[in-house]
Amino acid sequence: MAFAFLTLLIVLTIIPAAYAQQTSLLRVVVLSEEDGNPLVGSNVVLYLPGGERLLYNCVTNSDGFCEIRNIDANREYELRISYIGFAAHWQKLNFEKGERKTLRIDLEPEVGEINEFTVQGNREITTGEVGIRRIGNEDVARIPTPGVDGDLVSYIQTVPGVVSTGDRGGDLYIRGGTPEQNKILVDNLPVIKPFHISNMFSAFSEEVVQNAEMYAGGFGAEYSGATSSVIDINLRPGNMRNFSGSGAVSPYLVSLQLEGPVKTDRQSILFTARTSAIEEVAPSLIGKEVPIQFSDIIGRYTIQEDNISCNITGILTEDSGEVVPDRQVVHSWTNSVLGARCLGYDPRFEYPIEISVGYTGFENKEGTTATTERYSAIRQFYVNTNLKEKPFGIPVNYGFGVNLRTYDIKLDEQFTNYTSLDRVVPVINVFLSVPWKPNNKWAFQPGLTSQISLDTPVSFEPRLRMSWQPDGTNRQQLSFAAGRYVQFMSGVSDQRDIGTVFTVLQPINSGDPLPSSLHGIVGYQQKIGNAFIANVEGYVKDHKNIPVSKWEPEARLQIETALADGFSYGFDVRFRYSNYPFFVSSGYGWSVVEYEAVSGDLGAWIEEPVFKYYPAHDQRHKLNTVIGYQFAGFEANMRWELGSGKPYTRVFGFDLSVRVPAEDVVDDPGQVRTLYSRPFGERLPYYHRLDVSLNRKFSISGGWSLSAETGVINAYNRNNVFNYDLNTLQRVNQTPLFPYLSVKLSKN
Amino acid sequence: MKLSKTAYIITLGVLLLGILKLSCDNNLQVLDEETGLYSIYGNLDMDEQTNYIRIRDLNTPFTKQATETIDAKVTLENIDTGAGEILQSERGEYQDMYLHNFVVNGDIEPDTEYRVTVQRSDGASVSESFLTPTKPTSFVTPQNQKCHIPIKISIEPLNGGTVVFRFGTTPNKNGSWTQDFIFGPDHYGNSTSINPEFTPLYLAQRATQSTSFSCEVLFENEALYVWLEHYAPGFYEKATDELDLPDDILGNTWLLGAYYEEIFAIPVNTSADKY
Repeated sequence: MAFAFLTLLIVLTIIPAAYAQQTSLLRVVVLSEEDGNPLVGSNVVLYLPGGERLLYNCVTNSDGFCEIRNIDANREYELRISYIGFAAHWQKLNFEKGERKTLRIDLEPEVGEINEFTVQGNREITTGEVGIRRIGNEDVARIPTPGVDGDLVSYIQTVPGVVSTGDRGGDLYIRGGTPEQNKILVDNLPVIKPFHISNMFSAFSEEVVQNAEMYAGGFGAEYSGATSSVIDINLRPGNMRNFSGSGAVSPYLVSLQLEGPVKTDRQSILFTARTSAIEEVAPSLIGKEVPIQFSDIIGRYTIQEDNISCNITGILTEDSGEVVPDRQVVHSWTNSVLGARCLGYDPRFEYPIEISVGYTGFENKEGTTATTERYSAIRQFYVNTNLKEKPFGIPVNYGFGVNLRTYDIKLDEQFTNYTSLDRVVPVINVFLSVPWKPNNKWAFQPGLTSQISLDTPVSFEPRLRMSWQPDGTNRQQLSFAAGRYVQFMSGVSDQRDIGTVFTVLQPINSGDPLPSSLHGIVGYQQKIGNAFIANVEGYVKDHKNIPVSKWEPEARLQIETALADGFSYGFDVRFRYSNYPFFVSSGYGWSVVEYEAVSGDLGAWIEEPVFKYYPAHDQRHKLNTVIGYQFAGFEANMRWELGSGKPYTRVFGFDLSVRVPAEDVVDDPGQVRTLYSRPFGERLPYYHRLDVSLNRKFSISGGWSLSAETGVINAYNRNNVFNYDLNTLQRVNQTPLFPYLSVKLSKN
Repeated sequence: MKLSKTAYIITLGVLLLGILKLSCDNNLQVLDEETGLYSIYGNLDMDEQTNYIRIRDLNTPFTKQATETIDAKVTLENIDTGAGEILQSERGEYQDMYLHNFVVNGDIEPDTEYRVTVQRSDGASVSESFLTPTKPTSFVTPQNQKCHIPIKISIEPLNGGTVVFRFGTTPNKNGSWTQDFIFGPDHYGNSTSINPEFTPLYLAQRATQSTSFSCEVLFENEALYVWLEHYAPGFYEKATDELDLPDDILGNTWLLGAYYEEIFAIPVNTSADKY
């Protein structure tokens, strides 16, 4: 953190005011009057007084910040700031030539119905919505979850193209990509696997998420180091005006939250802690063991001064348990993150400057309750800077960063290429993108990012995003995104067994090809009125050099890897209708994920020279529907999901091999063997599940309130299969009918 | 074209029913019961009157309950004569499961093609055939010579099987023997005989780990003993193949063949003490 502040100070000092131009500039920070928190996605507009014509506008980012440039001076304007659910702010403004104004505006909450779409802005994306899923905490709240608060990961799993292995494991596959090909950022700080062992929970509850953006592909040059997708999460700051707290109890977890100002309107803290209770509760509630434990702690210190805002964030997560009950194999993983993200927007800066610096650690293990048999960890120190310039009148976003990664691997038997590894690998990344909007219909953002490391070639990753709005508004939008993506690390897990979530994170060795991908996405979005929006997208991803487990006909512990190429394509159709008190959204995704590898590399008993197969995350159809209705102070929500079966590998047989004539069939029992059939040759049955919830908040005197939620997960008790465990020879089902009642007591 | 309301509802209903039908099937067929049927392991010793063939149902887990009985009708058929018999099983026990060994009684004819068929009660079956080795007489020339004089061992006829020699100075199987000398079809090609030459002195030195050059010291029993194994065509190659490198998974679940072994003595003249 000290380094971040120092860097910011240096930049503040050395960037001369001479950069200032003779046009005027307005910088606005929009905050909630209620708690002083930034309002993300506020519309900031400059009009001529009394006129209707919009002259300038911007949308606030995750810091509540936006800026308008090149304002004609010596004129009077009307500033209008609006945000759904808050009273609009009006103000007259005058600018002198070259003047730079910075305003902090508080918006008052407005009691009333909300039935239009919230515009959420984080990074400056002007080139269409293709590949992006913007997630607000109201979206998260609608998904029934056995806790009072919704959870980000429960929502993400409703998005077409997102596949999980079932209801446990904490792995997400996005449009054909594997978990190791995703990048998860929390306020620009990477987190490796913040999803809990129960797939209904992550470290990010509705209470701490301000907004999130999921880039299912085609992301811009500002993101590097992921070949499939990016999930960019912004946490909210603590209350800047009042101390508040809450405690919640549910069958799955208990939680505690505290927040409040350190310096009113300027500095605040936020602290949340959650720990699971399901292991203790499940036997009496559903009559079966659920041997999992998880917990998370998030602490956040926020500074919002006039010219700078900083968030210092700490995250700790812990997960452990048996992904497949009764198997006696314990998986565990921990995330630890400490870092800061600062945005400087002092008037002396020509453009805002963003710096993030921090540490991210991740460990995962597999073994028995007594011993660890496999261990893999990655630890990263990093600093990243995002800047803007406008040389020759062309806006340019650029940035650079350094990431120092330490890999630590210890294995009882060979897994991938190692039994142990301890290596430090520095990676430098730079990017540049040029947002260009020639008129109000077309927008382009070409970009280039590059990564440099030891022993590996420099990556060349061109990107392009573009959009066309036929009527000049975002009511209709055709957008396109494409690019090349490279990773300087890879993750290997045993895809032969979905009951294991252990992953070896490893660097790319000298001479080995880099994992890379090409993305292409085209999408069309149509808004009808203020209540209906529809979206259709087609995509293709071409992955190269994916490390996959070698297949041998006999099940065995040690794992060797081969390189496969992956090709995924498909389309999503989504619509959303929101008209208070009714809400419905539905999304259908069709996708194909196909891998191919040289048979000799992949497995010994495949007859074809090149083996093509559909890996375990190839889910062909997925349909999700979320319905919400508010009445008499209650909110009812329902989610139904239908998914086609994912591929699995049949068992050819359970054998006792006798090596006659050296062994004798009468005297020697033989060697126990489980033999696989053709890899991924069959598909699991269809999956479907209905979750429902009903919640209400009750006000108690003295600022106390009680929120209660009741609901049922898997309401019609469908026996959805998780896997068939070869060790116990039993079918393992997902969560059965799970009723819950959760309560939360809050003090504002 | 505009759909009427009724047509729209019917179409939607059919689609919904289709989805429900697809999604109602919740069975999981984990075992590949169509191709993975039985494993077959057996070594038919042509000098024994009773032999055993282990049959295991590949679809049964390793539990006593699942392996208590075996749904298998096992027949051994002499393809050359057409004679066949249904084999009866003997149940053994190992840890938490039962093993089923099927008994083959009577002579196994040399140079004869046999077929073992294992049939499930639903008619699904697997069968494997094998050719038994010939049973030729070995000729050794010259005999009763001094131990440094090379000898030639001639075996004929062969039908594609593999002959393995090992040599010792006592007939005790648990005694000291040389390493294996293997003569398979790769060695003798299209010929039907092998005629390898050996020097008894060197063989005795290797078997006894001795550096002595004295025939009298090396050959206390005044003979070189030959332990000969003769395997059915293909049997030796498969029996000694690496277990984890099968060509095909089906072939990896059977190992069946015939062989015989014998130990015979070749007299050595030890009267001349000095080499």
